[in-house]
This record gives sequence, structure tokens and C-alpha cells, in this order.
Amino acid sequence: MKTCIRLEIFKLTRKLRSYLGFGALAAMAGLVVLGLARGRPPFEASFEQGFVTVGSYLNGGFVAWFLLRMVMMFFLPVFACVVVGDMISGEAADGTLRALLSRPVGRGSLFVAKFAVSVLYVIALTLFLGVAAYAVGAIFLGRGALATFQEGTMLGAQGIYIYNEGEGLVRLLGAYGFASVAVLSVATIAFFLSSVLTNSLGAIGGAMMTFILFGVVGAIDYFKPIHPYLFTTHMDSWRGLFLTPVPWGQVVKSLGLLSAYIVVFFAAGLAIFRRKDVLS
Amino acid sequence: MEVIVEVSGLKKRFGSVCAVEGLDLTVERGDVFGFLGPNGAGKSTTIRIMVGLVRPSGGTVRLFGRDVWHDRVRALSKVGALVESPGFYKYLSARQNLWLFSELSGGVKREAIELALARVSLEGRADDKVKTYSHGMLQRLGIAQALVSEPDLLILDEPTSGLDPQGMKEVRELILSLARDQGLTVFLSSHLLHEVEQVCTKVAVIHRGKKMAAGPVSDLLHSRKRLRISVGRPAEAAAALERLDFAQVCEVTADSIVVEADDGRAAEVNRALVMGDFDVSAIVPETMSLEEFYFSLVRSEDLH
Repeated sequence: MKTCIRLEIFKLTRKLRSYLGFGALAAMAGLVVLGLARGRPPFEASFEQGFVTVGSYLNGGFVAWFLLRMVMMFFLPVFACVVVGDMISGEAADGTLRALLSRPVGRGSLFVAKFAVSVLYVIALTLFLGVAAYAVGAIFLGRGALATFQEGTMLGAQGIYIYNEGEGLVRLLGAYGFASVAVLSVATIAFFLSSVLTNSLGAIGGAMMTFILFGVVGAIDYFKPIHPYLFTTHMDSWRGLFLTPVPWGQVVKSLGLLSAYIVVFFAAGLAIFRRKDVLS
Repeated sequence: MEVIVEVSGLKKRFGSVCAVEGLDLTVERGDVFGFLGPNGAGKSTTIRIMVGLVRPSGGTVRLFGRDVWHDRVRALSKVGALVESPGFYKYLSARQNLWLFSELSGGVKREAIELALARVSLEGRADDKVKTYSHGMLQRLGIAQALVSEPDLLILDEPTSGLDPQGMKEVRELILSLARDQGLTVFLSSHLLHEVEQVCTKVAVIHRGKKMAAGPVSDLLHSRKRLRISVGRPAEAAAALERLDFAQVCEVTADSIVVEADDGRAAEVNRALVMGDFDVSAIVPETMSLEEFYFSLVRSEDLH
């Protein structure tokens, strides 16, 4: 198992595809900072309704918060799926899966190792976004108190929440931790499809289709009774971590549901992969 | 002799298609075992089951006495395999690929990787990315991949496919030397009959998922004799012989017929002809090539 994990990391770090997401997210952080530094700050209108701002709320913390809000519901899951959806199906397409599986390795070990490396990748990618956003923001805009804006989310709270630098960082760390789990729930669907299909495009596309479909169903009132069971509904609950008081019940419930998706798709993938005929 | 591969009652169904139907094979230590059959006969499916890629619908494959589906790690620990066209990580070098695959078999020393590369004459290109390799080089690297972890059993699916005549010859010589000098047991599938005839000590022929014949090459070739019979009125003679159950007419010319008959039945063929009032002027036995043997088997199966 250890060997499998080591080798999977070796392969991952030598593939160009693995760096695509990192590059794109870093570029986004740069663009957002450029836009914030040169343009009219977002949410300025909210302030003008009765606040006088002294100085600027634009800083590293704000960029990290703002960027997560931008990429959480699309780009981050896409970049994660591009790599995770390729983990097994990519090897099937290249013909390396049969070479791997005719070696004395347990199928279960290989599957678990590949999933473990996928989890590491998703965490690394998500945390990288936070660190890159915070760092670029801090360098070009400075550091300071964290101002966050809540518009009508499912959490029902609206308004402006401001935290001092230390508390802001803790809440950001929590939010990025939550985001890792949320992105992993989509990525696990991609991983599951990757273990069933023999081309990575199908696995990546299939996961994205599911993601979008759930998003659409989640936006239609008629389906309200099933909204609490869609993982997409819960991916946004990281915003709760910037409220006072934090709606812990809701956040924990969301984490639980996202974890349930991860466990179910992991277990289903494992059960199929252990028994399937490798014909690629 | 120690049994290395034991295939018993093997069956594989894909939906309603039966790819392998009750196959039995035994390979002993030191054998170079040729596995012959036309395309679609079930060769690849059998090999995939043998290396644990496909789950049998019935029967078992044991390697070194271990069931390959239920005890795959131990069954495959001394096996090197090349299944169909070789697959490699194209973004890694040949040396990195070999290292990676050998790690999965428990790891080998650096020298073993160099030796495997040298055996297939790729040492000069070992650090180039595999994506720059030609088809023939990939095939050679595939054989190196099977060899690198110093296996006791080598399972090769059409090892010379895609190679030029020189490359084919080198691979054949390599297989022979591995078997002769290092006592490796080799199981290879092929549809190149002369290749099997040159390299293998034993063969099995399968057709439509069933075993048609198996045994040492020389025994098989002598189990059925070809007789060229110079005879008057060959067409009528051929018709008369069709009634015999131990002989089969396979060629009729203007003055002779060629008959395949079970070993030692030439006299009976002669008697049948003479009793039928045909003038027999010569009966000349011909040794079959493996190719002729193979076609005679496959043809007789297709007639049934």
C-alpha cells in the first residue's frame, strides 16, 4: 500500500495535467488582485448605504475570501475533476492499467492508494488557492481586518461581518478546510466514474454533468423537498463560517452530507473495481 | 516435474458470448509453451484470466499452486507479463517506467533494470521519454517490462507483433536463451506458426474457446500422418476414402491424393483402396509442418 501511494505521487508529480489547476488558480488570484487594485472595489455600494469607510478593506484576507466565493461553485471542482477523473480511466486508456494489475498488487490496495492521492491532491489544490490568494493580496494590497459580505444565502443571514486579522485568518482556514471536503465530494464522483469508465473524458464530463444537473435541480423550487439531499446545496455552507454566531448545526450537517457522498461513491467504486474485468 | 501453470475447467462468458469453454492446460517448469489459435479463439481472454485481469465465469487458474483470482498477490509474485500491446507512461522515460513496474513486484536492484534494458537493446534510449518511441521499441520495452522483476514465469501475448524480421529473430533468440540458460518457464501466445515451431517445446491449439490439441510439438506433428498416394482415378478413390473414419482427404490432383490419417493406419488406407479396385502405385508419408497440423485441426473443427 505504501509503495502504491509513493508511486502514485511520483506519477502525479510528473504529469503536466497535475499543474494545470495550480497554474490557473494562481493566474486567477493575480487577475483578481489586479482588478481590485485598479478598479472599483466590489460591494462598495453596500457600504455607501450608511457607512463611511476609513482606509480600505481590500487586503490579502479579503482576496482569499472573495476568490473562494468565485471559484467554489465551478472552477475549483473542474480543476479537481480533471486530475481525479483521470486517475484510473486515464491508465485504462493508456494501457497501463493492465500492466499495473498484472503485477502482484491487490486491487483494493491500488484503488485505496489512488483515492488517497486524489484526496491529497484536492486538499493541496484548495489550500494552494487560499495561500496564493492571501499571499498575492497581502503583497499588493496589504493585510488587515477581514470584511465579508453575506447576501441571501441558504443560511438566511445578510449583512457585513468584519473580523480582526487573527480571527479572520482562523475563519478563512476553516472555510478552506470546508471547501476541501466540498470539492472532494464532486471529485469522488469523478473518481468513481474513473473506476468504471475507460476514458478520462467520460469520467470528468460525467462528474461535471452531475454537478451542473444537481445545481439546476437545486435552483428549481419545485424540487425543494430534495434540496437538502443534494451535495451542491451544501457546498456553499462554508459561508456560515463568516457569520456571528456561526450556525454550527448547519455547517456540521453540510459536512456530514458531503462526507456521505464521498463514502458512498468511494465504497461503490471499490466494490466494482475489485471485481471488474479489465478489458482495456 | 513441478507444475507452474494449471488451468482447469476454465470458462468465461461475456453476456451471451462464450469466449472460453472448459479449457484445461498444464505448463511445467522449464516449458516454453506455445498457445495457438486464430483471432477470436479465446487466447487473449485466457491470458487476461491468467494474469488476474479478468474474472473467470467458471474453473480456475493456478500459478505456482495459487489461485490467481482469489490469491492474486502471491500467485503473481513471480510472474512477468506482457498483455497485448504494451502500455507505458508516455511522460516518463523508459528507465522510470521499468523502475515503477518493478517496484510493484517488490523492487529490484538498479542492475536488474539495466540488464532488462540491455536485453532488448534499448540501453542507448533509456532516458528518453516513452512518447518518442517507435512501435517496435515499445514492443521491446514491453518485453523488458515483463523481464525486469526477474520472474520465474513469463507470460507473453504475441511478443513479436509489430517487430521487423530482425527484431522478431532477436526476441525469439532472447526467449530461447532465457528458457535454456536461466530455466525460465515461458507461456506465449502467437498466431505465427513458424515462430511457435522454432521456439516452443509444447503447444496447445485452441479454437472457439476449446482446446483442440496439446502436447510436445514433435508428438503432435507425428500424431497424424500425411500420405501422398499415387493412384489411378483419384477423384473416385478420394470418394471411397471419405467413408473411412480415421482418414481424411485433403487434396486431390490429376494423379494423386493427399490423405491425413491417424498414425500407423497407412496399411489400412492402402487395403481400402486395393479392395475398392484402385491401382495404388506409391504411398509416400509426409511430415506435417505445425502450420499444416494447425490448419487440419481448425478445418476439421469448422466442418463439424
